[in-house]
Amino acid sequence: MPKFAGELLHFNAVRMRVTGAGNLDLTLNSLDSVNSEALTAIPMSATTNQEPTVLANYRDQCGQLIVQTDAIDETFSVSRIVIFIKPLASGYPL
Amino acid sequence: MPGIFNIKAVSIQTQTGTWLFSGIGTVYTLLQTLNNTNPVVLNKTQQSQDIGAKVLVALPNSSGIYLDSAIVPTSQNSLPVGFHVPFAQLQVNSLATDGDHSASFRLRVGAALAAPGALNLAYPISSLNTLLATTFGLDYTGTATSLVVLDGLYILGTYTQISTSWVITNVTHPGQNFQVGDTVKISDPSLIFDFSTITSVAVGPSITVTAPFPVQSTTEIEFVIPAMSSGTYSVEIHDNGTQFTGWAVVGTLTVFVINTSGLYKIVSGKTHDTLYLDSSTDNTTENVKIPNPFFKTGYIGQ
Repeated sequence: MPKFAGELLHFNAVRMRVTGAGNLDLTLNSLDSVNSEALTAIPMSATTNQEPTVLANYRDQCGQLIVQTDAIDETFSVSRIVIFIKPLASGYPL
Repeated sequence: MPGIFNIKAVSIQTQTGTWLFSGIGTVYTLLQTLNNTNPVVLNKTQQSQDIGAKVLVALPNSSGIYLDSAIVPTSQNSLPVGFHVPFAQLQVNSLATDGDHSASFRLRVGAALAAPGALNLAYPISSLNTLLATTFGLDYTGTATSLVVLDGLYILGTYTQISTSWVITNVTHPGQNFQVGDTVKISDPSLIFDFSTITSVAVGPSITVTAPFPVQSTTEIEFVIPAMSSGTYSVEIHDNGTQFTGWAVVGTLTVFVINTSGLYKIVSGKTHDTLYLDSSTDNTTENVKIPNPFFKTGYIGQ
């Protein structure tokens, strides 16, 4: 993984290998939860041959991916996560 | 906000069955005409015999009340919160007699009779339910050639809305969460509301606690939370009193299960949590979701 040093990043997609039941909710979140973007939920099944790519349009100096379910009897098992990022600018001016 | 309302007849009949009215046809048509407050001509189509003394009886339309100048009636369950009726009367817009001038009218509310020819009669209001259940009409006496013109026959009244703020407190465990079996007090610190005629308290959509209550006075009411699942419920009071008739939401009540052990048993493959509602009395359980299980990646870009 490349090392970033304060650049403004563009998070443009998330690709996951996930199985389970229900819908998997994805959120990109900034430091201190100042900014966030809810991504399209991934419908899960017990087996799958696909790794769906969920588009995003989130910009910040850094971000984390939050993965969760919010209904009874929903389960998930994640074995692979790919987050697509591209530097947009060198940083935030003061 | 105060306003006026009127109530119209839902059915109308005479003591001796259906009449035919000149130019109108059937009693059903007469009802429509009364509702529209158009002039009604009362006489007998068969003018070979006297009309004699008749009583025309109507029942208020309890399914709808016309508020202010509304064209569409408001159902009793949809009335403004705190709907209160201080005054109502049965009235007609105008009366006129013709023919042999022997016809006479007296407005009737239940057993009460107005003076002959009077255009209104005060309606007794012990509650809105009584208002909507008391029959009204007129006593009518005429001969074969009598003719009476009646313009409108309906209940007209004024209404106000009682507005206050309610407080819900835990009597059994003051300041603590509500549990099944706790006594709950509903009061009105401003002392505007009269609790003495509350008939029931609804907790959520399916639980209703009805009178008699452990404590009920003009200033407060207390009830015991019945067996129910944990959760947050809307609390409504239902009243049938002279001050207020109807229902009002007084707040919300968050009920917790009692006698929870605090132990959390991990069961492999289980996809929900199981709550024991009262471990001391039964084994009733409720399955609830695990509160939003999640994970977070590290911050990318740091």
